Amino acid sequence: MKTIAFTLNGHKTEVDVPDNELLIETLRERLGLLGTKPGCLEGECGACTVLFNGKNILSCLKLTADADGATIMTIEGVAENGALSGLQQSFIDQGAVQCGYCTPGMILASKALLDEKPRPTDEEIVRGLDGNLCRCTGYIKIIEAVRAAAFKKGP
Amino acid sequence: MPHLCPFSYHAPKSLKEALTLLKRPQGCLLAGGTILLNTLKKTKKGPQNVVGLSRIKALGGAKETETTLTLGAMATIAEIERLSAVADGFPSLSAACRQLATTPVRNMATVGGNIASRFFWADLPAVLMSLEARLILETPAGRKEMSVDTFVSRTPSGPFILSSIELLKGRRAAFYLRHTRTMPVDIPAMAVAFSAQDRDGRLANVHLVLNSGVAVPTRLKETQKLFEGKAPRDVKPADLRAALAQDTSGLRLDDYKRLCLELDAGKIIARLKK
Amino acid sequence: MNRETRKTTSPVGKAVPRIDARPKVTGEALYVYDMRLPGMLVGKMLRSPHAHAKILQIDTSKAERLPGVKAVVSASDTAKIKFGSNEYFFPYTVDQLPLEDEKVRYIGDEIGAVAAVDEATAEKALSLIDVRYEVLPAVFDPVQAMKPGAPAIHTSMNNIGVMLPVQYGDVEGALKDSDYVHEDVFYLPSAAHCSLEPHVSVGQYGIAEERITLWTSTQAPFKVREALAKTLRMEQADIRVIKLNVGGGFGGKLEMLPMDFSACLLSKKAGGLPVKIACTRQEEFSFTRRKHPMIYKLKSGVKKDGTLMAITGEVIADGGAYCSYGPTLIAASIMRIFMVYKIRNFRVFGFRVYTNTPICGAIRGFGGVQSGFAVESHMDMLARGIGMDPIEFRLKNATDPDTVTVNKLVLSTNGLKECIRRGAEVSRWKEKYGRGKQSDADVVRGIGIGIAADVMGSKMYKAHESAGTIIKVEEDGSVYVFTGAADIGQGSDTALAQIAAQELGVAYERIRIKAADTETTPFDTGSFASRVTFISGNATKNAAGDVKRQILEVVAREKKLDKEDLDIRDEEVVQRGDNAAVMSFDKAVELCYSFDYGHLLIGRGNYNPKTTPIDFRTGEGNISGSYGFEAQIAEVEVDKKTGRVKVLKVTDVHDIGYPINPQSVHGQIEGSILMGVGYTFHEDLRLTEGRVLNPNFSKYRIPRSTDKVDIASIFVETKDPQGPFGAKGMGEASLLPTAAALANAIHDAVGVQIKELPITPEKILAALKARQKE
Repeated sequence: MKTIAFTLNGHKTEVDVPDNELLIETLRERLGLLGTKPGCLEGECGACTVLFNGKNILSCLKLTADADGATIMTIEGVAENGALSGLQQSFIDQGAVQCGYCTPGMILASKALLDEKPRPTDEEIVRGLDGNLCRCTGYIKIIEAVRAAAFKKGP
Repeated sequence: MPHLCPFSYHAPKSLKEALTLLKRPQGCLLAGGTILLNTLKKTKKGPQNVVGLSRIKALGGAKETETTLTLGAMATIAEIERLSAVADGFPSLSAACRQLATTPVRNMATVGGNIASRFFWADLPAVLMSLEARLILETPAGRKEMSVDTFVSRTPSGPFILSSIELLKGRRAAFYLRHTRTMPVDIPAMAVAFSAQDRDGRLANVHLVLNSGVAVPTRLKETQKLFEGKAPRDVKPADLRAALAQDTSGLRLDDYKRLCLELDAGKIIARLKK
Repeated sequence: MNRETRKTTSPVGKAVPRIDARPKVTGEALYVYDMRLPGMLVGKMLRSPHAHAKILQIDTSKAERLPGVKAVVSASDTAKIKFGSNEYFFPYTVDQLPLEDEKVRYIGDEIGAVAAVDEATAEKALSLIDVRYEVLPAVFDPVQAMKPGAPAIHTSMNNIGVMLPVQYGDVEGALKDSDYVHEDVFYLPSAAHCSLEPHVSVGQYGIAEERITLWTSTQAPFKVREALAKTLRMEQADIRVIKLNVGGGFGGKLEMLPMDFSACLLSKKAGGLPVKIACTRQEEFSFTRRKHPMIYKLKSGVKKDGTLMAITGEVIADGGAYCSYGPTLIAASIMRIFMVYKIRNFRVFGFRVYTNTPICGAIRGFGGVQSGFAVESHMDMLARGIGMDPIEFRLKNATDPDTVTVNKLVLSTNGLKECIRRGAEVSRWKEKYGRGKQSDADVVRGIGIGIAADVMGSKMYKAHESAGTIIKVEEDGSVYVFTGAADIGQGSDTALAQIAAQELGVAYERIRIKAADTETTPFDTGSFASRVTFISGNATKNAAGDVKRQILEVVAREKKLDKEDLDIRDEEVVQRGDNAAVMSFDKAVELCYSFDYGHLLIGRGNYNPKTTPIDFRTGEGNISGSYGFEAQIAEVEVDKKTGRVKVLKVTDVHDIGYPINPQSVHGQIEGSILMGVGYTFHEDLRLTEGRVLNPNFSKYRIPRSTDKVDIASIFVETKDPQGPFGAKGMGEASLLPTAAALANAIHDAVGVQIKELPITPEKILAALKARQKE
């Protein structure tokens, strides 16, 4: 067991976890944050995506014990004071949400991309989402949503 | 709950501490976690002690001098991809990092983990072999240095930690051609890493390494010899085919892989001619 | 949610945001996989490690004694009642026990289940259940399984679960009269649904009232309830099945599974503690449902002028160990062709065969993907045989509106020919077709077509196929729509809200949907056969109309007007004709609830499409209230040296009647096409000796963002008179012709027709090599 401290969705958080606990388990089972989804638990589907020091990673391939001192964001931390972020609103407006199971991961992967490349090319968007599987949409409206979110701000 | 077998996790802050911990029963290293943690999900009885390397500052980042570029073993694939020193001086390494796996995996996986995983299909060993990279290992008996060729052919005995990868700067043409079975993000079915320098329009210091997916990366020695000292346009297709056949005679390559290899060699010549 | 910010009136036909999108983008949307209840136990299934074996003995005593184990069940705890998915028309295919008793028939066959305080204890308990098997010889290939002497999996002869002969007209005569006859065999592999949320069930037994509640990731809560009642020997009224958000279904969540049954039974045995049984991804691939692999033989004849004379053939479908949706699926697979082509001489025999492999069931397309590949490839070859352009060939033989087919399907609105023409126009077919032949380059382009049709529901499940909707309008003007329809991501909740708002004359944002709870919502058969917009949509429209009438009656009385002169539009009660405002919707509702009237507003509607069940002896019957049609044109680039194929563009022209939500419909089409591309090039669920070889995403490759395809999705609006606001359904159709369109495009590019999926570089190179030798 270890006491691990990290910043989670802007708040300092401390948890006592067994050494072999995965970050996705801590988030869902201990901290009640169910937005991070288990899809395969093998690092292939991206449904468990969280932001780790600003970069999108797979929480099913991260030991919580290895997260001491990190800044973590889950889907629950994307909206600010109940107001949807531009990206979240864009996903709604562009029809990028069908069954919704991939959506939290897609939004976080998109956020990581836009935080690094505020005006990405289509190729860069496609690449930034290559770790997130979606079976419903064919990806087209998801890419449109990211594009719309990136380019609607200003001229 | 727990998806992983039980173990004790250690987060040392120095290489010395890590090496001491490695001596513990059934110790293993955790780098990026993209390989190890999946393996630990499938085992009922895994290692007793997992030594995490993420806190050891000496293992991170990259250092540049006039003549060398040294990558820390814990530098992630994504970080390496972003280094201009890599894009400029070692474009084949940049290409390999760009094509490897998916974005979140690139954010987590490390160059050290890719090499030390000893998976035949791993991308970076072949590329680094073609770039004459030197591996620095820390052991209880002190620092060891070896070529990637040596490392991939035989696991070093005793506990060790791969700490950095040293590359020699120098103008060179360097390509990485990668093939997958189904889609781009797959592990490579086959890949070819090439590097050579230019000496008055002729190729010098030619390196050609094949990642066949079914064996350790193979230096294509006859083909290297064929290229050495020649201008690209003077390499005859028939000679090339013969050399490749000789170099791959011991390998279990299916027809499709042989075809890809031939086409890759042709592509390399075409690019060199430009 | 601040309702004042947006008011979308007349929402039908508009791309309004999905009604459930907001909680999905914030992570609040709850899926059964997320459920936690106090005292909830972890359940796990005990599965057979053998492909075929007799169960000699099951001893659960050691498992029961393990501390932390709260319940263990096996067949002896059950009433041993079989269930199946085609009970109504094929009662002899009801062949599966929720927990097998005498025999196991595939690796993964469920024979027991445990519930324990945590996962580790549950796993340990499974290992403590002693099962003695007598391993039997097994058979894994359908052709082998049909041979005399093959191991008998059930009691059916030659392991044939269903044999379906579909015959019309005079095939021999028509073939004799043909100018060109062509024969082919096509091979279709298995595939997996790959819903992002795996199967999961949470069962809770209420001891006081002896009632069950089951939360399950499902497309058909009422079907699940029916099967549970049957197998648990309980009243349906004592079973409540609740659907939450579902992370994808695609046909894999269309029936009760043993884990649904076991979660409930375990809960009962555990004194009422809730039990959750969740599949891992590997279990999802290995033990749930998969696509029927098929061998499709076709031999057809055409006249020089392109007239299709006769189609004959044989379909051998590998069904796995139990029947599931097999019989209706094979019927649907074969008979789709009548929606698309004018054909009067037809003889195809379908065999749905048992093998000792994981169960094959419904998956998007319902047999139509397999038949789509075979038929549409075959049609291209027939066209080439008489030197006719594939588009001209399709136009020559495509069905027309207002016709009755040889098997009595009533095609009313039918935009198929227009879809074909528009597709050809938009894709610039004439410029592109045939260019590949003229090119010596290594990389060549090609263009190919596939056409398809789909149903809107189908009377193959029960005698009735109705849906019902209840609407209540509360005193504050809020509108609740209660529907049994199951939204699994395709957007049915949204479409129904739009329909309700449109008919009632109010803003879309006013509507709240309460769906898919067998206790509180009306009956609905579920999300399959692209039926929800059409059938549940009509029920909802009727219910909204009912409530509107009630409101207008009260207003008419109050204002001393004729209620026939009134309507509700844009949230106003108006006078028809001059649109003069009478009073606002909110005021009208207040009036209904006021002292003088005291009229609670509850509307109801149901809809049973005017269809006839199939007579499975003759294959005749108009199974759907309307039919949707499409033409799909694929453009590819083929590298002759490497065999690699790049999909340049897919143009899909679709007769959807009228789009309730254009964005949703395009979204369904785009998703379907990419699924089709995946099946064409790299999805291939491989098995050996009854075991799935690639039960994970790293080895079973579904398309990623990097594989996305450029799609032009175009609607043809035929405004179906039966559909709500002219809408037809749309869920599966765009998946049906994709593989053939791509295979045909590859032929146009490099002159080889690949007849076995998936199309790999190796197959293309081998075909090119073989052609060179000729």
